[in-house]
Amino acid sequence: MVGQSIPFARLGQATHTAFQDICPPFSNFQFIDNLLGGECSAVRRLFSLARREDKGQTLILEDIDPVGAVRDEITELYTLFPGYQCTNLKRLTFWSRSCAKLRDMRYLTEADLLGYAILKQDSIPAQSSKWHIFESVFKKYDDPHNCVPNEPVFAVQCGSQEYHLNGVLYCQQNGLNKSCAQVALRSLLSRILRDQDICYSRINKVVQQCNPDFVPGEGLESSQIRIILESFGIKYDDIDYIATNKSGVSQPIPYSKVLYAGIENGLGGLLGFELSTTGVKGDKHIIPFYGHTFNQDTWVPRASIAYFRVGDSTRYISSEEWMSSLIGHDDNFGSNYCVPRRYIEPSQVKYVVALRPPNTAYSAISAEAIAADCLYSTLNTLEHIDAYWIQRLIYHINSQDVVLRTLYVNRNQYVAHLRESADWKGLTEDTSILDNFASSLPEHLWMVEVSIPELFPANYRKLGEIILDACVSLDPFPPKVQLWILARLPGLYLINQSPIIQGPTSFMHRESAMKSHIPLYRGLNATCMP
Amino acid sequence: MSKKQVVYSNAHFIEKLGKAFENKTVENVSIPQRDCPDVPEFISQLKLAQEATRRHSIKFG
Repeated sequence: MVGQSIPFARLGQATHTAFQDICPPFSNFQFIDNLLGGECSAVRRLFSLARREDKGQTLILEDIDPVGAVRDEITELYTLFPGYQCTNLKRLTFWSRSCAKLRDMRYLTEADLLGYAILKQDSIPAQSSKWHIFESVFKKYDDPHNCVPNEPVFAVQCGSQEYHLNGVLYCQQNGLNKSCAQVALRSLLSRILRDQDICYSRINKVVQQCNPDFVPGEGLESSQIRIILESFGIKYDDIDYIATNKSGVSQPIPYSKVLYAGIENGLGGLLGFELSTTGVKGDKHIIPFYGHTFNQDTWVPRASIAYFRVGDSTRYISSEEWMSSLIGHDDNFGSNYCVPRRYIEPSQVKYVVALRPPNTAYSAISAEAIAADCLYSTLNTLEHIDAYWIQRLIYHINSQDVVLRTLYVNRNQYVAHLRESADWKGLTEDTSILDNFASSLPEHLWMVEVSIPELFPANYRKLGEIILDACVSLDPFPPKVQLWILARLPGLYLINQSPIIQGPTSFMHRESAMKSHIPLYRGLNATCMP
Repeated sequence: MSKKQVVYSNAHFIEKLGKAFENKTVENVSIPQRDCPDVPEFISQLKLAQEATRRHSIKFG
């Protein structure tokens, strides 16, 4: 779909600028009370993010012109609520450098920018006016174990300058034209459709076309979330746990595994759950997740419960087991929160949707299960090879405790990854092999990285990959087209040479110069692994 | 007249790989898929879950 060429809301020109020193004894609490004249816990969270580690020194408050998605929202609200007025629009930028006047702004650099927020006040006749955070972006917590793959860069205006910062857009509902569902979608869509300001009117119009009685402020159905994603040309995998439990599906995939697939592939996902403590029973909330923490020392993968069981005879350890917390936003309370992985009880979770890379015909979860089967099928072939790392791999294949991590890569990304890799002794791959892969592999691939316990979490390294063609449909299954294209294991490649499926698949055995383990793939901004 | 659906094929890639590596191969090996119903059953369960998901809707907001 072609994007709308409107300016971004965060680039609006300032009409008035004020400077606030936010070093102690400045009080965030008192300042927010005076600014908003009411409670807004999500705004308090913004100030906490700026205050962390005593980094925040200056807050610049600007009244700004409404442009982009803000201007669009004002127009939408005029239509929905005659007499509507946007009574305030402020841009807040938080800085780690002291700045007290316009003339000093020239000393501010991008490195000093901690985050920004656009606060908007809506006024409807016969109702008290209300503030909300139209959007904000804050840099993630600066810790190598805090992983946000594929973080976009946001350009924000302050004074006469444009500054850039990495982060994930946070948006808050106003109960008028957007609920938790629309704002969660805008967060994730802004990571993918980076050249356009995602407007709520566009999201709402898509739903309205299917349901003329749709009331935007009352939220979205899961079926409407699907329609919106499809209208933006985005692939996804979703599970409705109410429906699957009723339909007799033997073991629905755990929600954290679905979310992890979307997060690790740099796209994220949404989690819909029932509020059991703070809300009325039956109320359902949905929030976006886009990152995770990685705990090298977690005991969880050693517990038998951590094995992912494809079936009675097929199990493995998913790299997800080293994830301690999901990182996401909750529009009620603010941005960049860690939610412990198993904190939300499965019985509370009603719906999960993970975004999936384009050019894929099936999910990362399917790819991982298929790759486990392919890997375990190589056992008879590998047993004859007298090489330490192959024998080590065989031990873990027999124990079915290999570690698998699944990522989408295109052909060029895969070849570039191998080109820059070296094994533990520093040996690199023969370039003629890589040149052949660059010209002959299918274009879109699921790369299922194969590692083993200790090697994976301690060294962030792996023994090889199972490469599947991501474009093959799994309907029917098994498919009529070859899925498994290649296996790279220590010292060898197995290269599919059966273009047509007919009996057992024939593979070429080709030597590899890399005889031991190599680094995991870190292509997605190098932030998916420390 | 009904249109014939275009079916994706990667046969040409596999043929190209075969040509690229001919004369450089240690040996050819035949790898039969394990005689195990787990993955087909798993994929079938995922499909059932997807169909059930499409038939139902939950409101969030």
